[in-house]
Amino acid sequence: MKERRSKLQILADILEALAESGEMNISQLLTAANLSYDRLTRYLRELELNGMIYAERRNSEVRVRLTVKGSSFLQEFRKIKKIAEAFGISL
Amino acid sequence: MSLEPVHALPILDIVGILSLITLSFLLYKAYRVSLNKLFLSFLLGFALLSVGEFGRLILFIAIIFSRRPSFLLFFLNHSLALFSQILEVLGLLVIALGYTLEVFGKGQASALIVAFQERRFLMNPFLLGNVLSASLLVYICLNAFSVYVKNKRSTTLAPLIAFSLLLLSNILSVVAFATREELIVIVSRLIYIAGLYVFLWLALKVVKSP
Repeated sequence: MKERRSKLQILADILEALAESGEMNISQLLTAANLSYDRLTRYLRELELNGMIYAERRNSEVRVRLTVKGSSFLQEFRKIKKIAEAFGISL
Repeated sequence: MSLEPVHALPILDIVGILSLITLSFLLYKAYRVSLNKLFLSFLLGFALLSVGEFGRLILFIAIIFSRRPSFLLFFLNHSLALFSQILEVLGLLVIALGYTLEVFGKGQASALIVAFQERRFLMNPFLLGNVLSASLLVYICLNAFSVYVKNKRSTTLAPLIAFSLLLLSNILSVVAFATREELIVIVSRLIYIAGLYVFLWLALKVVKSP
């Protein structure tokens, strides 16, 4: 059975996808993060409010980028994941 | 006073304590970001182990550098040694609880506490401390082994090796207590420090990850 992702893991997945691609639109993020539109926009709003992503409206499209704060949070999360993995803690 | 190889043990021990502090700091950071209480459990366990180990280091330094038996040594032996032993048992108990909470949930974790409260203090406190630590370490090693079997990586192997070395050291301590053999005490300390160095390797691997 596939385990449910925690909120922290979902936020990290979004940031990870952005770190890999540099810049993404909403439909690309929907596929990469494997989320419904409603949930994705909710998480994106939260990430934007915390200064971890930067969303730019260009014509009818929204382009999302990772900020420096988001990038350093992602680095921190990778370390947390390693330590959680070592002691068998599920995030 | 001539320096002997045994005098290098406190220096090795200091690095071992630093590894426990680094690991505690990483677990604190992990708790702060994730607010997952299991990190707090492991953090508390490793913090208690490092304070206990610090007490042992002071006692060890006092013993190997003292020229003759003194009142201070007597006081340290009857306070610090017991204090360190209690902290070690408590630290291991909290780590064992962390593993239990992750695998079985709250019900089994409280059963673990009750099981240890039920034990009667019939033996010498130091020997009892060693036996308690060893039984907790057996439990922790089994959990660390199941974590490793689930996810075969070097990061999951490290706690298994480290806790196994701490267990071996504890068993040797009991043997040393029974045989009064000084060499076994030194070997036991060296194995304990080796276990702490495995934790240091783990902490460095986490810190250096991109």
